[in-house]
Amino acid sequence: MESQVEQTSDAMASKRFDGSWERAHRNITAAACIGLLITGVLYVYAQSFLTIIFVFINSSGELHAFKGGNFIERLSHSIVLLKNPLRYSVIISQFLFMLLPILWIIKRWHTTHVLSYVRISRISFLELSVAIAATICFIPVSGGISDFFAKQLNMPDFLAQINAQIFTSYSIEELLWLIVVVCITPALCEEVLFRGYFQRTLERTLGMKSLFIAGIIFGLYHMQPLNLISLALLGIMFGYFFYRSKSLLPGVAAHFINNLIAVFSLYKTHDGRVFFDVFDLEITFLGVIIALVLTGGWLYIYHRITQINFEDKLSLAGN
Amino acid sequence: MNPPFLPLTLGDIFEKTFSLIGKTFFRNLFIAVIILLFPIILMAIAMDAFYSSLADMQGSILQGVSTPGLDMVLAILGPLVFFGCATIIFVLGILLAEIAVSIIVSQEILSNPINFFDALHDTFSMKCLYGIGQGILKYAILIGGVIAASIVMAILGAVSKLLMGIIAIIGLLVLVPVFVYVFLKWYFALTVVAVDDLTAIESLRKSWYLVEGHWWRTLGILILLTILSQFAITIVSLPISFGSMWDFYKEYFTLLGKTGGNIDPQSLAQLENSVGPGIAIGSGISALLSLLITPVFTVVMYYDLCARENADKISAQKPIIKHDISSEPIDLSSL
Repeated sequence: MESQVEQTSDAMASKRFDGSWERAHRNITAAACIGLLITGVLYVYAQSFLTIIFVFINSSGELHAFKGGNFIERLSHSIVLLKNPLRYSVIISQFLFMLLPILWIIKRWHTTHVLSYVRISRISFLELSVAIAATICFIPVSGGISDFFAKQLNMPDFLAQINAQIFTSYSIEELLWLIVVVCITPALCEEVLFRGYFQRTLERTLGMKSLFIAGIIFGLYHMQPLNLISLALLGIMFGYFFYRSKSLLPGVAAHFINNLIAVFSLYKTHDGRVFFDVFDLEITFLGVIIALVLTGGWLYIYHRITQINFEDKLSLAGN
Repeated sequence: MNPPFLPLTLGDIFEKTFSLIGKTFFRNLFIAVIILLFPIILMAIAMDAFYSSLADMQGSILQGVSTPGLDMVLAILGPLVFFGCATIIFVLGILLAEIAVSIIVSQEILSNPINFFDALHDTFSMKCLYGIGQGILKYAILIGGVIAASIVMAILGAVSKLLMGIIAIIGLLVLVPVFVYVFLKWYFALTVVAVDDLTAIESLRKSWYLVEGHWWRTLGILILLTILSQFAITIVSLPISFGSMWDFYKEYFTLLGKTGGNIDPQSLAQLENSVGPGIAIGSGISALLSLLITPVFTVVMYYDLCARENADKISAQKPIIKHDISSEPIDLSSL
């Protein structure tokens, strides 16, 4: 009963579209795309700018060291120089130039009921657990796809390991800091942008298609051609959680867990041992297939457990 | 003669551009592919030839087979000229495609949709020559101005280095704003040719006249739309460009893996052999995507400027004309 009242109020609040774009009866799909582009441009430029500033603040005296050594040494050196500035710039730019602008856009263009619009609403523990289980099972699939392209390209392992330095932690303090930067921040900010705003707005005109579009754009936004397919699939899965539960929380939790496993797998203990070395793991084709089947199974369970609520919310929202 | 549209707000420009991109997407894509396919292939061949000869030249220098000299310059001259010609054809292709896309978008705004065949037919008329003419005139004046200023500086430099330094700083401070000012004033010349069928000189004159009084607003909106559209183009074209250079990256990573990062300059020079077509295809795809967005917002902004121009005229005539139904402005945002 309580949940039904909550759903009704959520649906009514969502219907109170009092923003300037809504009042002018402008194209909603256009709002979704333009809002996403404005935020994307702001974020990318701000992040690059902040990284440069932090590099200068952090290590202006060491910049001359770029000249020496071969390509690998120079790359390793630049990653060491970039590591902390990049972490600072990610956390600042994700909150200030991704989350804040998109919340401002929602308030100005769509509705003053911002939290209701992005669907910050409670869901059952079971829904949350199944979403997390599906995400964990999907990790070998996304890893396998990225690995396949890297192998096709003959990409040396040391390049991937150098790149992974950004996410590697050498102490508990650094691990906790990385959890804030790599797990909490993107899970919150990116989910609000891609699911809470972009998919939510597209959903009003395109329905279920919105989760595929938002997923693909999520993959493209990361600007990592080798990980494009796996990121897009992951984005579609997060979008599916959002679409079925009509809540942002399962996507946030799934995103957080996905990144958390990556960070934990790169945590080096005090004796230099890797906590859980993903680079030593050979993802076989069979492993990917089994993981895919398991993910499918969890998604089916998710579909079933969200069935009643999904239909109720759909009729209440009038979609 | 343009109908007197209502001026648009920034939100209207955003929304109209987005709706028009959707409505004209496939026709514009078809036109862009038809016109640009041959130039992109030609560009790929030319870049392949250019980079191959460059790689051969670097290789022979590194091997000590030959030394840099006139014969080397002559050997690379052929591919360089071919590359230059291919670039000119590529730029001409973009210009013609822009005219065709502008025609389609303009007709869509006027609620008179046309198919890509009619747009192409309309493009390859006198409009094509006017379009090329305004481009030559515009860039000849702009680039000519820069060259003339450089010559003056070079002459002064011959007299005194200090004088040249001072003049160079002053020149830069004056030249860059002048260049931007004039460039923006003539920005809509190609759209004028496509939409109003005016000659090269008339189109430059009309564009100049339209931007008058709205220069800062036009600059702001153009910068904003260009940044947003370029960002969209970049995220879409990045995987495509990466795919088009797949062979190059594969060779590069193979070498990197074999040598552990110590790639010798000769092998690096050899890598250049396969880089040309990938760059050409990547740039071609970016140009193609750009053609689906840039001419659309340019036409929308052009109609907005026309509407503002009309509004200025009407407000100037207000005490005389009280209410004339025939000149009732059409709300562009309702189209």
